[in-house]
Amino acid sequence: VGVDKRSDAALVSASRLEPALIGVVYERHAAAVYRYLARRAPIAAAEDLLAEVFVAALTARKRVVLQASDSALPWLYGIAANVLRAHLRRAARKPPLHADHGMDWDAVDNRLDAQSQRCQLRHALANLSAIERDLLLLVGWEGLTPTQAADALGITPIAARSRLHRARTHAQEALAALEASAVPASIDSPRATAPSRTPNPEEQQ
Amino acid sequence: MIILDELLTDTAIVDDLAPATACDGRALLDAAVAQQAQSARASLLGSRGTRRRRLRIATVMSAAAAAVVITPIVALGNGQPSASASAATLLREAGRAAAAQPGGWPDATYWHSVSTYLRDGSTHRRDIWIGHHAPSVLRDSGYVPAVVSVSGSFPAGSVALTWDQLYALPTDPDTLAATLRADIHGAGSSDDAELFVMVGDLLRESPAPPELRQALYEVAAGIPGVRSTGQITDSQGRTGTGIERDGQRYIIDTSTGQLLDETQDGWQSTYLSQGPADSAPPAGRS
Repeated sequence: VGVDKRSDAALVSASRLEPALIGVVYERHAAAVYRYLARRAPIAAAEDLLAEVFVAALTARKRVVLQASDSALPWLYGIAANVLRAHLRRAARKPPLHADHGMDWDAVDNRLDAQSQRCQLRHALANLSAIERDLLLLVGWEGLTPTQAADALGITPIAARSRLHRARTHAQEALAALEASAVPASIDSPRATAPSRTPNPEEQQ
Repeated sequence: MIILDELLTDTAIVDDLAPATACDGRALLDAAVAQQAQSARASLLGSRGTRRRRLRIATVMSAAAAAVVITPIVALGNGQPSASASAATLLREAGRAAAAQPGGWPDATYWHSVSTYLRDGSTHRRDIWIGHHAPSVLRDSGYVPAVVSVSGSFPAGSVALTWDQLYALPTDPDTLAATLRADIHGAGSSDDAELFVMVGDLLRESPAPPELRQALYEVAAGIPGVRSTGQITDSQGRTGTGIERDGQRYIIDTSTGQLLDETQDGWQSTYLSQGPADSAPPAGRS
């Protein structure tokens, strides 16, 4: 089977009339979309949701036009985020108020071998809003540019820029604070820091 | 020292997609492609497709998230020096003009905002339909003309508000300022700088009702360090009043209370229109 050399933009465009071309997009990007899911959810869920993301892309393909040089990945990550959110919402036994359905923290803990990494990651992300965390991870984990990450999240580049800067500053400060404290503080689920109008006692510094 | 970038790189490592799983996924996708081709043929023969789509939208609408209770924090006093006298006067004028506009959209379906922004030297158009309950849709000539956005919420600094939370914000300026400040939690270069950012956030692409807009301008008028840069023309040739703090500049039409344009570190967005909408372009997935 020959490799299709067309750009993502050309493929997605041609898939309007020829839906099977989404299969080529799948061959190209399934591995990256899988990693996106596996970083945030249990492996079994990531495996199940992978096809769901591309089926959703199949439905969405007609209303998407990519710039010639653009990768389809930010678009696919945006869809993956929706699919994952819907899955985690379904899976939550009792949806808590202010639930943050962007990330399955138990799965993240299970995935990271080193206790120190879990602790550091939680500290780094604990005081970020969901938007800030999503931006930071799309850039830090998925390697998107800040503008691509803004597109994936549907916020303006100008809003993404200040939020990303803030997220990095806060995360780095939290890591410095963790290192400065002799006894590693135990941290409850960062889910508790989902956007909330009432100050969360755990966030008080 | 723990380096953030190293931590992110280390924690990004996951096992690769197993070839067998990749094949399973591809098979499911191919089945969906085949099914879609079949239903495309069927819809040429009747209107079943349309009815089914309507049903799906209704299902999404009924699955709306539960309302969240907002606890306003009472203002503790107002002894701070305000923005420069002229900036404060202009902001209050803009606030009165905003309050005189018709509006208040607590029950609208979508909030549709149109703007342009500069990216890589060229100007792009951005349309976003933020759903009250339905998924939001973004059409952006700079990248993807239509995509369901992950977040249909309204950012205010570090927090993201739902439509209903926005409408539950207090419209007394002191109470509003205290409520917003309570959500800063150390974000931004200073609390005052962050509050100035939050005011822009809530004016920019938001169904904030006239009385909330007035309160937001009043809050801005009370922020130390805010100054007026005089009459400025935005990228569309519209003239407004420049209001600036720490390199963040808003251009405001003080006769209507409309936010026209925004510049930050050389990044520029120009806001063309915003208003309620009954529907959004098909988002592609329900």
